[in-house]
Amino acid sequence: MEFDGEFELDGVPPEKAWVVLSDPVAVRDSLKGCQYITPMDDSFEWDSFEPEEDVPTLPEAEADDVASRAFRTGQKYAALMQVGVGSVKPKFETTVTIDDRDEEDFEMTATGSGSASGSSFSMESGMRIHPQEDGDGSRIEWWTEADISGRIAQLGGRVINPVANKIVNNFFTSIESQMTDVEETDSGVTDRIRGMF
Amino acid sequence: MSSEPDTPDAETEYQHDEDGGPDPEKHCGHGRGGMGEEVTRKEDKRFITGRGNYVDDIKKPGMLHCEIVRSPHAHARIENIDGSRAEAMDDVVAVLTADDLLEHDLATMPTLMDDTQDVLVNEKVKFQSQEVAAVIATDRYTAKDGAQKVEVEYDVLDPVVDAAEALEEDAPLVRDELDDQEDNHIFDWDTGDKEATEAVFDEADVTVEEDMLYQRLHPAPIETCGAVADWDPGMDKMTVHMTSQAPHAHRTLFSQVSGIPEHKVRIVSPDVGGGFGNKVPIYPGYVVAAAASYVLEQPVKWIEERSENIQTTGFARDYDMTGELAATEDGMIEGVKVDVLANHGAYNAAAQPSKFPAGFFNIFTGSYDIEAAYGSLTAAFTNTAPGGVAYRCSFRVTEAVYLIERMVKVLADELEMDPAEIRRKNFIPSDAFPYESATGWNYDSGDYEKALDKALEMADYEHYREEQQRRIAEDADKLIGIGISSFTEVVGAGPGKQCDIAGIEMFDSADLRVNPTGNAVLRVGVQTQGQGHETTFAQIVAEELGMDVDNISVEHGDTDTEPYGLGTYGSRSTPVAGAAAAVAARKVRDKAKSIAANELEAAEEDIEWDRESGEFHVAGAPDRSITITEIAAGAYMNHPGDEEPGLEAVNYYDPPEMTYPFGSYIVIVEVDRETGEVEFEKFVAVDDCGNRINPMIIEGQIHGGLAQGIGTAMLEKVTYDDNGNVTGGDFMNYLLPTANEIPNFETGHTVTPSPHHPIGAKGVGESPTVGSPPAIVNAVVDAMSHAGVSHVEMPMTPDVVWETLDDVGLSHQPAHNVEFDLGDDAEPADD
Amino acid sequence: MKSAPFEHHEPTTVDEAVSLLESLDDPTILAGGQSLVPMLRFRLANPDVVVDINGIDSLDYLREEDGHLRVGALARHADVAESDVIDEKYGSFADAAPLVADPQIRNRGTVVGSVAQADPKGDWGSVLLAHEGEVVARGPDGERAIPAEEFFLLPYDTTLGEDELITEVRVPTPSPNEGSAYHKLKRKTGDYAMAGVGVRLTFNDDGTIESAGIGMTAVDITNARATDAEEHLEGERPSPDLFAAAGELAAEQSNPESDEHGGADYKARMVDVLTQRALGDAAERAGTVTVKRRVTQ
Repeated sequence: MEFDGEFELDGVPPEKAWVVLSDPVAVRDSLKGCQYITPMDDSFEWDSFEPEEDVPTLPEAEADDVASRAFRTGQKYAALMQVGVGSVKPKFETTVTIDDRDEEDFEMTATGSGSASGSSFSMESGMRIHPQEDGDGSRIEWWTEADISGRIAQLGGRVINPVANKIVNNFFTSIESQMTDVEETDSGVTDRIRGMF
Repeated sequence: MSSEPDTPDAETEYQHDEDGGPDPEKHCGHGRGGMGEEVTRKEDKRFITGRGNYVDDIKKPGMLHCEIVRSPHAHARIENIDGSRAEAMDDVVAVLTADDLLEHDLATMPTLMDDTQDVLVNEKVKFQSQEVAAVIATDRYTAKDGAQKVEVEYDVLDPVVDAAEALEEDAPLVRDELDDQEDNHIFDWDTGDKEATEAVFDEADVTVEEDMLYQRLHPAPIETCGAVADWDPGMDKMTVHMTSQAPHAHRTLFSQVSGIPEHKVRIVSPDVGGGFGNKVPIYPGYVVAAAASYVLEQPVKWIEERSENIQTTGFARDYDMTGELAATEDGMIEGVKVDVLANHGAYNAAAQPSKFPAGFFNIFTGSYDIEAAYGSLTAAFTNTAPGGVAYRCSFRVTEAVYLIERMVKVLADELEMDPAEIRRKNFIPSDAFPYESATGWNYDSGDYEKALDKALEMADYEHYREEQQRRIAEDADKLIGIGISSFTEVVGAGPGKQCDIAGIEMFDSADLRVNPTGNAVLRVGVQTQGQGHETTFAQIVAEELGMDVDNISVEHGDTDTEPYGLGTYGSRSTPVAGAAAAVAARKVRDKAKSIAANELEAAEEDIEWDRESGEFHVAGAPDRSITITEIAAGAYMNHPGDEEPGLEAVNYYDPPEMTYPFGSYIVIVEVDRETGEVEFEKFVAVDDCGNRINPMIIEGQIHGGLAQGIGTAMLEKVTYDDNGNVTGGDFMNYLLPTANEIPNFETGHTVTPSPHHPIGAKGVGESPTVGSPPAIVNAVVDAMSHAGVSHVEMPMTPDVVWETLDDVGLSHQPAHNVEFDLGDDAEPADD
Repeated sequence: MKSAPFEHHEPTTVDEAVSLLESLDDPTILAGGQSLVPMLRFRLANPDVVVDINGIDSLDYLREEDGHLRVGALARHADVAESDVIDEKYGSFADAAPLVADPQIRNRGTVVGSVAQADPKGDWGSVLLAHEGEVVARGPDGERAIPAEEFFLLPYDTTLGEDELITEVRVPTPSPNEGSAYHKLKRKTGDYAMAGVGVRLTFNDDGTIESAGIGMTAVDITNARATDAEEHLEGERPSPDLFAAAGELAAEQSNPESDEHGGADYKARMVDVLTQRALGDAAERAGTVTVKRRVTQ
């Protein structure tokens, strides 16, 4: 199953978008149903893990913190993600590995997999941030190739597409509003963070 | 390699009765419920009043429940199974994995084709929903809760679900555990004379070719599979109540798999809610339930869910076929060729007698006298459920009949001949029987033209041909299509020397015991799943002993009490066990004569039996007569000195040949040019199953089979996506027809008795499923053949039909033929 | 059905139900169970808490009142199929009810539940859209009426609040010059729609179309209105050409996906066909035209 799309972030230049999209906390906050995204190693236990609460978010967060928690190439992350489709609300225990981050072209690729309620998925995703052709914002190109197995694939094939699109669109809309927050409150923070990469 | 059936020995003795046997067309049942009478089904009372006893109705003290953990992946290596969270639950008794079964040597089981299937996956999952672990709990709900808590780590592999892709060089290897298996190829098989057939094709005036897929179907019986296994450690005996079409064969297999001696295994198949071939194989669930009962020393019940049934148990068909015909320009068929790619799923588990790797597919010359025939087939492993069961058909006859009946229509269109006429021209003539076909089959009897003529008349064929032309000429919105299928089935496996299952020859058996009070119990080795054996077999005995049908009970399905038999499938019960019942009854009748002689004080050779009255009398003195009831009393209370007391007989019947029921079906459809919807205008089915035992039951069988044929042609298909997910694995997506989709059937019959069967009967339950799909497809094609359409793939859903209409320019817009009448006041519509 | 365990609440009044919805953590509402029960059975839905509204007798109604046809949350599809007032005046409802699922499900499943489920393949959403109906919801802050057009967001996703209960759906009582119809294409009884179209036509006294409503089933991510076709019809007099143009506009506005129910192009074409057929029926039922076929069949 392949999905792809584009999203325009008006008034948000690519480098700012890159900072926010590189922050697991910002991504978590923009992804509805996502309870945490955290670096994981082999000893990670889904049952016992408790995410840290009250983590400072952008734009208030300290630049050093944001820079140090930013996605790293080769790192594996654990994410707990609940997807709600009517009465069906599977909670996916998901692992994501950042395969590549291109700081110059603002391109990031990742692979992930997860399972819930007798279903599982694996995916290869990527995104690239382009400058807007007619404006000072960004155009985000994204793509995902996903393999889905189990009950959800058997019964839900016809809704996977619109639901995936909904999740992605909600995500970028939320990112956009976070960007606007950054802009409004402290326009200097992104430059500082950017300087640290 | 070639596997033609052997010709039966010329000296094979047919077991005919001294008076020539029953002729139900002449004297119908004699009023005692014998042959030809519409006796009300004995089994209906308990079914209609809710007193049937199915496997899931069985409850035993201390019974545990089993739920199977299944793989969400179609192809994956199991890295780890952690059952600890399930085991920690209060009412969970055990979690079983392959490791537990390995300890008891129960980790694998043989399939019907001598392949070896994992009971619980040991290393690698090979199809979606395959059995990975089992949770045993004190109730069904907890077992299911527990199953959700079993954690399995998979290393997911790329699957291959398509047979053609499976045979490509870089395809994922489904069976890497087999030492000599380097690809997904299972076997090649061929039949007929290749050279002679090629020669005929080279010389022919006309040749036609068509590709067609007989899609993967599932028999989808109303009752899913299930078992209650009960190991008795005191008796060292395993009793398994299970949904089995072949209890004795399953007992032998169970004994072989488990190592428990066969006399310590009892299989009981109680009431079974439909089988259709689905309940012929052994499934992992049965074995898991038995293993769990053995280990835990408590009864264990396993009942399958609907989607588990469709996704993991024996599918049917999945033959991708190319057919070719060679003919003269005036429509005489000279040769037939067929090439098949068969998808067998992850294990080779097809249900067929072992000498026939492609079942009886080589009957693809059908009802026609064709000089040269050649067929070839390749079977492949894929990451799909195993199967290839004989879904309401005799081992791949359905595929063969579909091929030849479709090809005859293709040829008729190519030659612009009437499809009825071209059939008539090529039929095996009625005086050519017994007839040996180009692929070596020995047809017992037939009169194909008679059945076709009757069907044409019932269908008002000429009228509809005219109506069809009128609609084409007037560019009407609904096209008429007329489809014909003049099929021949081969049923009644089989002669033991040709057919065996796991080495056991396919005979069948009957044990008839007459009680002192004059009633009788017939025990048979076959097993009914709705066929009405308790009625029809009683009618056979009533006919042959002159007894009232109400005085005969038929028992089946319990291996502790019934004689060994091979079970019910492939329309074999009447041809084989029905024959055994007749022969057993005649043996009883022979002994009855000696008792009659004793009672009537006459010489035994002077005693005659009169089929009409059902009584025994002294030759030349009809008044000196005695009934079977009186004889029964005599057998126990006044037996002749030179005879043993009692009155009973056993017969194990090995049929000399198979039987060849046939028929002609005519389907008339209306095809909606706006939407592609197909409606049945008329559905005529003329069947010939030889002598008829119970016409009402036959009619019921025909109706049921036609409904399944409509499901096949119009709705059903087990579908997979590229990841091996079963997307047609539940009743939301696997579409069974309902009463609303079924038209009124007009049934008729002809009677051409089988010359070798003791009562001249053939077998009928599967004819309608076999014969109707090509008639339906031919009808839909026929509606569009004037525009050049030669084939439409099944299932012919509206979108498929509409795409075909649109491709050849036959689709219509609603406005095409519509006018609006606006009434007097209104202005003209086209202003 | 072997569902996962859940807590089962049976309120007997709407107030009680609403306060349960407010106080409980992530409750799931059970009405007829037409969609929820299969999801429970497959364990795709694993709710901790179910609020079963079948005991709220006050929601079991189907009546004309205050200028509306009001369908209470416990009115079953079978109630609609058997209703005299529906039969007499609401052609689209009368058409749709017997086409929903199969008889067993119609005896249990509810119209409101089907709307709440917001399955784009559900029939009632299109009927509501065609009639410009409303969804009436009750929450902690009282009652509100949501126009059908603003109700559906995505498959299974609506503007209903998490603590709101739909008490009824309603459509305006038709004028004498109104006719409506629903056409659905499916592969068999009980199957989801391959495509469906609900149509309402209201005529002026001069025989021109005053307003039109067209709702489409299974050809977009929600039930959707064919606004271009509606506008094209308004002010016009019915004719085969007009309806053909409207059908084409509806098809253009539809957004089907290829799936097991057919290819996208086929479904769009069927929107065209079903729209024309439903328009013909609606116009006939309004007493405006008689549709004739030039050739038998």
